[in-house]
Amino acid sequence: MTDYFDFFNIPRAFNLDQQELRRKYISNSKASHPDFFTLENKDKQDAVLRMSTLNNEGYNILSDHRRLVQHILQLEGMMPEEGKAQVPGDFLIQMMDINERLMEAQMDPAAQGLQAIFNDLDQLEEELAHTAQCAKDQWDEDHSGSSLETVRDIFLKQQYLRRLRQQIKSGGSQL
Amino acid sequence: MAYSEKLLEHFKHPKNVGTLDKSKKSVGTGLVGAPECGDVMRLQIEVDDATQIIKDAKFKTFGCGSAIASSSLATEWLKGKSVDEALTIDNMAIVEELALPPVKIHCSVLAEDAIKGAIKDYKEKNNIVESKS
Repeated sequence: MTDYFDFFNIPRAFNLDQQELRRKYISNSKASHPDFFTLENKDKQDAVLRMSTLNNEGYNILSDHRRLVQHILQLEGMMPEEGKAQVPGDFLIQMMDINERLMEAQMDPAAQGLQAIFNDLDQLEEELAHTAQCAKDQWDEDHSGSSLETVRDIFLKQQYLRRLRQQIKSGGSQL
Repeated sequence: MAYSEKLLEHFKHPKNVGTLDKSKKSVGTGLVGAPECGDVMRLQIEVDDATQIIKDAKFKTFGCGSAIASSSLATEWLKGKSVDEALTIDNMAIVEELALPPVKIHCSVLAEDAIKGAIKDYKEKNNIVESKS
């Protein structure tokens, strides 16, 4: 897989300098714009197109914090195989509970209880984000395995909250 | 993406949605999740003490249609089976029955894990020693 930190020649870090990334992205975009290479041979044009694709994809990933975290975890070999990822049982119980409450609240036209769920979600997200940020700062400094494990564990939990948020947005079940 | 008729049927009219009393000794509960998509699935079985036959099964799944269909189908298959027979239910059987596309295979794995979790919980509650084969 492509290491987009390498590609942009930016240090691998959770606290990435977004302005630097943006500068490099724009400068790459100019340098690899297909319109400037219409008179070149096919090999050169293909190379430019590949470069442009990587530039766009890389920017999309690194400028989106969730995807940036996922990218680092993948590069560091910290993402479990599909189906092997585990979160603690009590967290799953909490997620089941909040999903059930959300479903009941969504079916109730008076929408009672929704606000309480939003508050719980906000609080949970804040707690996770705070713990994650400490671990991310730590890892950027010392690249320790334990801090990266914390980032990974929280990332997995955040996936459940993300689904809840999508559920709230869509207001119902999705196939 | 095209989904099979069976899958759509289980998704639109899921069987056995609900909750069993988990404080009962005869009820086993399996709770599993898939962080890839944030799905959570709870599957419960109620076992007849004398015959060791699963007399009821319920589930509640918060997730995509394939996860709902997989758990709905799983509860249908569980009812009437003995606990040991239930352990042989394999996720690939679910994949075949529902014609799950490759990207949704993990939903069937989730259902299998939930079955195994429910049986394990039941056995632990009733001090049945897991027979290792």
